Parts: sequence; structure tokens; C-alpha cells
Amino acid sequence: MAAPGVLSAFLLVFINAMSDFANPKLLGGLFVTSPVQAYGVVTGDADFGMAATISAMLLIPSLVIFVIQAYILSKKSFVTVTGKPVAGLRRIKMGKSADIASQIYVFFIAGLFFLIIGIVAFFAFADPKAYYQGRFVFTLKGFTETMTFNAYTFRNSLIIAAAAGILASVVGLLLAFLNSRKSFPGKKFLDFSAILPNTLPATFLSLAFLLSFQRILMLGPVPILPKLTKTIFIMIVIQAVRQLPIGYRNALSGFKQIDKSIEEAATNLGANVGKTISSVVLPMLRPAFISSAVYNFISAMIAVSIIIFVVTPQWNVASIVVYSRADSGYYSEAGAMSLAIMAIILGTLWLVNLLSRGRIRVFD
Amino acid sequence: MEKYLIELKGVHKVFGSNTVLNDINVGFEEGRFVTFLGPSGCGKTTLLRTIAGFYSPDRGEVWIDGKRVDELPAHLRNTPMVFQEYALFPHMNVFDNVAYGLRLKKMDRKQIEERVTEALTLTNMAQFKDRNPNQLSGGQQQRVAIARAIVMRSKILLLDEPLSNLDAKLRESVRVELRMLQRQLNRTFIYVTHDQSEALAMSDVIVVFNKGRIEQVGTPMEVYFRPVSKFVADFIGVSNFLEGNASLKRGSVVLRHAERDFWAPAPAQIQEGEHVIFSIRPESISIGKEERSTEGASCLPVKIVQGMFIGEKVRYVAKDATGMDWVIDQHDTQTILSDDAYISINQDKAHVIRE
Repeated sequence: MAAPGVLSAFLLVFINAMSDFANPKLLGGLFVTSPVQAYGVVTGDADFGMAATISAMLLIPSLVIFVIQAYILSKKSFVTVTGKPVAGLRRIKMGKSADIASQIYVFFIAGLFFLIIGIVAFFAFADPKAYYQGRFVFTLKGFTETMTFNAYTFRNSLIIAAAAGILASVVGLLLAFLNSRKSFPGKKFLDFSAILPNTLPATFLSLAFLLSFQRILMLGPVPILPKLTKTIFIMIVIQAVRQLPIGYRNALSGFKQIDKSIEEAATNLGANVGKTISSVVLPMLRPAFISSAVYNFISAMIAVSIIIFVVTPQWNVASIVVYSRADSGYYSEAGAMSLAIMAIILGTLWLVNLLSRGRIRVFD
Repeated sequence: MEKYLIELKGVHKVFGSNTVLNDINVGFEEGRFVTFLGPSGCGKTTLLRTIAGFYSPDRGEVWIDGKRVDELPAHLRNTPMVFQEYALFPHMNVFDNVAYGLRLKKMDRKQIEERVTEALTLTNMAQFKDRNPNQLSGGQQQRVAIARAIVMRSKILLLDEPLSNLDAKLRESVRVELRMLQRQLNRTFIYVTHDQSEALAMSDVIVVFNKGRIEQVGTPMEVYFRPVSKFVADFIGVSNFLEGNASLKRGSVVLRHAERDFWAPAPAQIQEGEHVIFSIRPESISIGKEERSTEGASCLPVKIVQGMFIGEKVRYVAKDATGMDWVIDQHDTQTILSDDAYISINQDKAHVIRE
């Protein structure tokens, strides 16, 4: 029964790890990964063709894993008919020692996460010169440097993340409405397209956007693609496209939970299609919509790989500054910016929880 | 010529290769409690939804209050419906649920307040107007659904198996209230059910469906005591059947079975030798240990297979000499017979079906 969840998690982690840019760039040293190489080829030699080739090669394992996962899941049936317990069946319980071992493992993993945050906080408040001399001297210099030179990047991050989060959720909602309520040719292709951005490597998408939108693409006299590079719009669109599958899947799940008879009841009482959607469907989907918009916002705030090829100095964002300061050895500033991003995200989650009185759960 | 509030002319509907409604022709007067009755898949819900506008007929016409509506979209028909699953809006409280249709009509607040309060009072739900649907029991939700429909003050109310999700005891009490409400409001209710006791108890008119066709339209007594087909006789209640070629004697129809004559009143224009079916209700048969030789009564020896005490009656299953099973109900008795017995049927108790 857990197989679909496990396989989906594997696919997600595999693709994200394979196409990750910032972590291998910072930590990899001489261990060079394809995204790092593609980035180096663009920034060093301006060889977009080579970069595109490297990024395209990343597609192959992603699609292979995706197809295998889809094949395995199609062969088995994982329908849960009811969550009610069946009389006569005994629940498998772990022994006490297995219980304790599991708890130790969980606390260990949690402890690792808090340790990482603690180390970042340490560097945020530690004077770098004193640190290299083996001493800890408390300082707020990292924060002051951040606010002096990089405050505008927080503004950019907030604007781009908010716009992308809402855009991905709105488009996802529309696509989910079409998929769940209408019949038309190409419905399955639409469904596949809506979840495709999640299966594509982030750096592949980033380079694809850079190359596609660097000039107005004309088909004869008709412009079919605008020029978006070096604008805020390419940052918003690329983030929205990357997060679209989340918004789509959330909305689809929401629509499936709305019984058809509820919409019919609205129609029966005199509501046309538009009124049915605005007065019944959308209010019922509001928690799912807000939850996915907030999740998309958070993902966009911390994204690096997806925007690495399209970010510009004018529209620089906080996550890229964290990466670039860390890459240059300015760990104090990188730590300070990281804590600031975390504070923004936690603040957003707290606000959502407060305003929704606990009804909207972003990570459920 | 009677004026129908709802009239269906030649309505035909096909889903894929399945003919769900086959040339339906029927009309209903104003102020009637009409029940569509039949087994699952017979087309009764499809016809209800066709009247509501959720389906368009492939052929035929739907007329409501003198206007043809089969091309009219569902949201313009004013045929409020009570759904099987209640279909209350979960994000609105009871008051807002009931007021929904009135707000779409842009009525003023005071008028909405009055009409909603009236509808909730009629359904005994006024004290719950601020609650959300998830805070109500199944029966309460169903009352709100009914209030939401009757508040629209349409001449028609459609009900799609509204009691099927309620427990047996609640079903009976809501059934009575629903019938009283219909009489009080004097509106036409079109009620869909597969429960024949519900249909018999509540209706002015029963329309019995089978495989997309109407088998019979009549009052509860007509469909129960004078079924026009074996299907109707078998679907409504329990019936014993004798089949054969009719003999006509002394103004009655006679069938020979197990070397005994069985008599029934002769319907008009019946022919000698015509194939007929006798339908005999279990409560129309007497059972006892002694043979009764009464004028105009048929008597048959049987062997009792089982006698079941069901409270108000004892139900017997017995076999005659030919091996045919008979179901006999004996009311107001504290004795259960067994082994050999005799059944007796008066000649006016058998109903003749000509198919």
C-alpha cells in the first residue's frame, strides 16, 4: 500500500539530487556534477550549445525513472476502499526495543537538522577573522553587511516568490478544473504536461528558459515568444512552471473531493457555470489553493538551481546571494541571509496558521 | 382534458449502447405525490434528472407548466431537487444553504429572512440555522436539503431517493413528515425510490419502471391489487402466479392447476384459450388443516416447508403436488402450522394479467 508514496518520493529525490546545482558547487570540490559543469561552461566559455547538451543528457535518467515508476504503478492496484478497521485483523505492532530504536533514529535525524541550522547560526554570528584564528567572537556584522548591500534581494525574492506561488496555483487550478470536469481530446496529454515540470531537471529548465526567451521568437510576421530574459517576468514564470505540478495536483485532489452533486445542487437552484464555480467550487477549494500557494512561495524563496541561468544583478534574489557569498567564502553573510530567509518563511507559516485558525496545513 | 403540470412526450435516452429511457409518455397533474418506482438501472433517476435538466433527451419533449423545456439549461428550469447525498454546501451554514437559491434571484434581505425562516420552521430546523452541515446528523441534513428546495416555492419538487441514507426508523418518521409537508404545500413532488413499501405509503400516483419503459401508472391500490404485468405484480409486494390458457365459465376465468380449478373475475374482452396469468397475494389465501369446500373458492392440498413468525403475521412457504411454491400470510394468529395443510382462495381474490 505504501509503494506509490515510496516510488514517488524516490523519483522526486532522484531528480532533485541529480539536477541540484548549489550543493555540489559548494561542497563538491573536484567532484563535478553535470549541472555544475553546465554552469561553468556558460559562465566561463559562453558555450550555450555545450551547456544545453549537458543539460539534455540529464533528461535521460529522469525520464527513464519516470517511465519505470509509471509502469510499476500501472501494474498494481493500490485503491484504499475504506480506512475503517476490519474486524478480526490484528495490527502489526513493533516490539519495545524496535520502538526505542525507531525513536532514537528519528531524534538523531531531527538532531542533524537542528545541528545544521545551529552551524549556520554560528557562522551568522561569528566574526570571520576571529574564527580563522580559532576564536569565537560574537558579531552582527554579517547582518549589517547583508542589510547594507543585499536588502533589495529580499524584496525581489518576496515579489517573485509571491507572484510565482499565486500564478502556479491559479494555473494549476484551471488545469485541474479542465481535467476533472470537462471531456475533450488530449486530456491525458494535458495531465502529463501539467506534471512534467517536476520530472525535468531544474538546470535543464533554467537553461531552456534562458535560451527560449532571450529574443522575440517570430513565426513569419507573428511573434510567438516574447523576450523575457533580464526581466523579473522570466524569474516569475520559471518558478511558476516549476511549481505548477504542486498547484495542479493539490487542486485536482480538491476537485475530486467535491462531490458532483454539490455542483449540481448549485446549478439546480439557479447558478450558471460561472456562479457555481465562484460561489461553491472556489470557496471549497480555498484551503487547498492557499496551502499550495504558500508551499510554492516557500519553494520559490529557497530555489537556486531553477533560476541559476536566468538571474541578473538587477533581479538578484536572496537564495542566490546565499550561494554566491558562501561560494566566495563569506560565511558570515551567507549565514545571516540564510537565517533571514528562514525567518521570513517561518513568519509566513505562522501568519497563515493564525489567519486560518489552524485550518490550512501547508505540509499535509 | 386534464391539464398536466409535467408532461413527457416520447422521451428517449441512450447511454452508449444502453437504452435507458425508451419512448416515455406520461403526464402528472399539479399537487400530486408521484413516485417513480423500479429496480436499480431501470431509468427512474435518469428520467428525474431529465426533468431537472441534467440530461437532455435524445428524442422527445419535456413540458413543464405549459412550456417546453427540453432545450432549457438546468439552472433556468426552477425544478428544485433534494439529492440522495443531501449535497449541502459545506462552507455555508444552514441559513446560507437554504438562502442560496433566493440570493441568486437577488431577493431583498428581509424577504429572504422571512422565507428561509418559514422553510426551516416547516422542517423543524429553525433552531439549527447557524450550524454548519458537518455539525448535523444525517436526518437533520436531509431536512435542510428539503428546506432548501421548498424555499424556492416552485410548483415542482424533485426528490432522488432522499431517505436511502437514513436508518429504518428515521426513514419511517421522515416519510410521514414528507407526505404531510407535500399535502400542506399542495405542490407536485416527484419522488424516486426502489422501496415499494415507501412508494405505496406515500404516493398519489406510482409509475413503475422496468428496463427504461413504464410498466404501469396508477394509484398504490391499482398497482398493488390490479398489476398489469407479471413484473409489476412481482416487484410490488409478493405474489403467487398461476399461468395457463383461460377457460371461460359463468362469467369467470378458470385456470386448471394441480387437478383443481382456480377462478378469477373475467376482465373485459377476454377470449377462450387466451394465455393468462393469475396473480394471487399471500394475504388473499387462507390456510388450515382442513379442506374447505366453499362455493366459489378453490382449495388445494399443500405441504408446509416453512412457517415464519414476523410479528403481525405468520408467513408460510408451502409446496403443492406439482412442486410449485406458495407464499401465504396469516394475520393475527399465535399458532404456526406445519406439515400437511390446505390453502383456499376465493374467486374474487385472484387478479388476471394479460401479457
